[in-house]
Amino acid sequence: MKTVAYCHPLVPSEWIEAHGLRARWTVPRHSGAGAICGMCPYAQAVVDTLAGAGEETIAVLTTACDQMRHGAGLLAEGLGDRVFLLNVPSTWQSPASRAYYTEELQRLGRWLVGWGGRRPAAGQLAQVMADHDRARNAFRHGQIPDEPPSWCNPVAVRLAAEAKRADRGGVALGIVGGPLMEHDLAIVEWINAAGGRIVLDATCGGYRTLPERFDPSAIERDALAELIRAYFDHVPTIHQRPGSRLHDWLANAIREHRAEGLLCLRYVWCDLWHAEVARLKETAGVTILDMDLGDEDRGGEGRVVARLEAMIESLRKQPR
Amino acid sequence: MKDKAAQLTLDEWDIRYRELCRHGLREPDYGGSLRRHVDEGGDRRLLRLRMDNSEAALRLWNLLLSEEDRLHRARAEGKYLVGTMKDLGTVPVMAYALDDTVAFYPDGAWWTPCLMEHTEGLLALADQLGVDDSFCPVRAMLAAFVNGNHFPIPDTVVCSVGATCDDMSAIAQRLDELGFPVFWWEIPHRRVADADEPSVELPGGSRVPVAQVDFVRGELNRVRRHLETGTGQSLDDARLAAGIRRANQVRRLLGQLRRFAYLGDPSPMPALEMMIAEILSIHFCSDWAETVAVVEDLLAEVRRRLIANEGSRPAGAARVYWINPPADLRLMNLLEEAGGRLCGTDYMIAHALDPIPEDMPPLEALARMALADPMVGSSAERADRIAREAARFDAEAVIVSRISGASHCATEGLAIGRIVERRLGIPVLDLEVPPVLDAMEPTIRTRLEALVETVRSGRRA
Amino acid sequence: MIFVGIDVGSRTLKVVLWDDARQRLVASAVADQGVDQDALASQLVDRLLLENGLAREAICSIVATGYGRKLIGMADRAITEITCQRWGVRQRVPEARTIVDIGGQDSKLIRLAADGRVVDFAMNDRCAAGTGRFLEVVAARLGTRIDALGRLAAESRQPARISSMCVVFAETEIVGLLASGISPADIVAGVQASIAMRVAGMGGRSVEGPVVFTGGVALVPGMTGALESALNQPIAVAPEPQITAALGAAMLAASDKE
Repeated sequence: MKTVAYCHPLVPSEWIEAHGLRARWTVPRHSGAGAICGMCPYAQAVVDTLAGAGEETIAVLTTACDQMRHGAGLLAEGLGDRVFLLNVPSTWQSPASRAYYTEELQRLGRWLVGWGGRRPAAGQLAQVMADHDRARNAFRHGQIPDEPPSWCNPVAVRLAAEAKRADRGGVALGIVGGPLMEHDLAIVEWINAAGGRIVLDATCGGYRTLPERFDPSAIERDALAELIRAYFDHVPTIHQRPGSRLHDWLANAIREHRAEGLLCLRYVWCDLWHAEVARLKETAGVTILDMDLGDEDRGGEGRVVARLEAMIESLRKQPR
Repeated sequence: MKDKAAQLTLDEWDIRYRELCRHGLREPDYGGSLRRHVDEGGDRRLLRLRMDNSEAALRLWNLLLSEEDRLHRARAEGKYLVGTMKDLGTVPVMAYALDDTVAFYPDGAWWTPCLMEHTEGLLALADQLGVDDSFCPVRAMLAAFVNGNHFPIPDTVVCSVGATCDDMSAIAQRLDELGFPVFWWEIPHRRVADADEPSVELPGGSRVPVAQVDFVRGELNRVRRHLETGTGQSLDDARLAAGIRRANQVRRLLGQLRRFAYLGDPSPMPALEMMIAEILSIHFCSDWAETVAVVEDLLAEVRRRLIANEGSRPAGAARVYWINPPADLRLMNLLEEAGGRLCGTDYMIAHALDPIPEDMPPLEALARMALADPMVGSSAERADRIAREAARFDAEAVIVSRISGASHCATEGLAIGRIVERRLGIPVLDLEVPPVLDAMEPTIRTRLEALVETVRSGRRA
Repeated sequence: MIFVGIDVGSRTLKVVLWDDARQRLVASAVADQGVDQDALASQLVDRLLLENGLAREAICSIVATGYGRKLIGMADRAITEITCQRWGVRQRVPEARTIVDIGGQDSKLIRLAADGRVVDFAMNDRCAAGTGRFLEVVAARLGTRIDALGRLAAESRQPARISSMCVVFAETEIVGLLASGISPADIVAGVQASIAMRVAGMGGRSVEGPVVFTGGVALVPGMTGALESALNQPIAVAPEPQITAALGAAMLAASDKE
């Protein structure tokens, strides 16, 4: 059975699994090869990782950012048809974009069939959706899955587990930004050691980008339509235009989780997150720490820790 | 008054202009000496450029450098101003089909830091707005919106997103957040049609699924409704068709100009003027009729020079195919000073030089044209077209002018380099220059000269 | 009752002795960085104690700050330089609302509330183009010393334009400028303007005054003027701008405030 690697929240894992294939959010690793100047290190790591994946892996990348779109082109030079580029519209308020996303999922379905998948039989998609919905809901309520789930970034799940384990109180922080990589888990320790704790994961592939809960009766009527409603109509991402959906979601989440500060983890050369930092500072209502991450893996530990500590010091009740 | 082709400094142009006036030079209302753009407009970069000595070039420069005045006049006259972003060459065709409506590209402000040699502080202001130099120099536009010192604030900003560059998407989003009225429309990533999918051919030769064209047509219909609401006019098919015919008039003229200029030897029109002329195809410099007149003049001058076997540089220069517009205009001069010449270009507007189909419903034609944009497809597809064109124009080398900070350039340059070298076996030079390249001029000059030497040694072999 | 602040910076190590009872700076010292920072700090503290007739026992508490703050074994606590700058600067310039700190390897812009709390901060340490490192590169390339750069910049008639965001490329630009016949004075002035613009960019659209300038680069003549131009407002250089973080650390050692 082929494994379908993906790394964007608007690729519904249910759709892949309903086709009888294994879905897996890919956790990229830097190859150690030289960075391409100007290329987002996350996109580059995804390309490097998937380029080295075996024949059993096929990949779905999206057009959500220019870097990944062009990254898909680089990857296709080696993998050819094993790479599928899913058009995910930036505009989210128009029915036409929604219809286009629907067509793209259908096209993805045809591609999956071409790689050994089978068209979902009656009730199959509904069953997978119900299973994922249950698991996601448990996760939302603090239950950590035993196995890395297929429906989100497994690093985000481990982050939630680590945050829960390490929580000894302290300054409540949210993190927001691009998808987490394996080495980002160290941030939990650093935050904890500095006297903080993570109360909100708003990174791409984490809590923020989980789809809306499915309506069982709607699944029964038209499972694919319900899938699209829960994903396309509700998942806030950085590439959407206008960007108000993301900022509205963040404002609510910051209130709901009582975050006192927000750590924005963005990859160097990621224009989409970079440009939004100024807006976050204007509207989030809490202290924002802007953290640019390069391709240095843990080499940047000192600079990250110093900022985190300074942020937490400044958020502690300061004497006058 | 016709003199032999030459490239003049601004001081030399002062003398030339007085001579032309003495000989009865007739100019449009935006005419005048080039010097005034330095003295009154602060366009100090002209002091470092060498410009073609023809009356046609004078008119071209004056049209280009008077656009802000024209826009302010249009605003004063109560015309509807449409700021067009990212889409290159589609929305202006629609806007110019309406009465009392002017479309322009605010991102043209990316040349302002070059022209004014940073004296206007746009990039510093963009830094303060959270858009620093890890972004493409088009960030100057964000600052120009905020300080209001350049173009008038348009009534609407129509911005395409989707398969566009992240820089532009991020900057347009900042504009939206700062309260500027942005209308978003979607352009999907152009893909190759599956074997069992109905497909159509686009101008330029790509084949895409009909479904993609249908989607883009729908999006352009939304743009049409938006413009109708804004202007209070009906943008019916007849008007659109007339707009397409006008756009095609410019495109056909530019097509002829390119063929003559890029195939003639010696090169009958310098690289700098050719670049400015080509880019007129997308924006008409806010005046379609004048654009036609300017390009006709250039074409006439090029024809005259071809007959007279004249060029501002000697024949036999290294034939270079150029990719992407540079942030500093001076770079185009440097190419020629190093012994090279243009023989073809892809300034990211290759699709805007192809005529828009006139034998189909106009919105369908515009949708096909929008999808033909090289920037919405893959790097490999763009490289493929570049390789074909470079071969057609007998290119001996390719220069990829990387745009610093542009999200597409990091990987695209690699793909283009690989494909061109593999197919054509000619050298590819990757250059990245800041908006003012003076400090890097010696090293850039060295690289250009080395490229020319490589071409020449290849000829001998 | 002596409290000690040690600022372990990238280029220099600073030590301050603070008498909290008298609210008085007893002594301070700055030394170039070495390999063993812990030993260097210890030597410097001992020297200051000796010069001021004090014994080790007089020390009540020590706080270390700076990028190497966790390397100081004798310190009781480690606190970041952001927090320490706040206390040091407020002691020297109580009305300060913004601190611009430019050191050898990083630069910071710290916003303070009217009551002195840190509101937020921005920090650049990825790119040396906005730091003192840039000035070192220029000095080396021009064959001069860093403390001579200010005098050179004062002779500039038209500062050169340095566009690169990266010191490596900026160095290429400097070579190019020299080859083009641009005077060293104009190059230095251009570099100073470039650093100032980069730091100003970290402040966003409005930087509230009074702005206080700290860090080793504040001692380089010409930098204050460049910053004033970039921020479009007057800048006050903190008294002894190199030691404000160490001073803040010593003050924090005297309290349980942070």
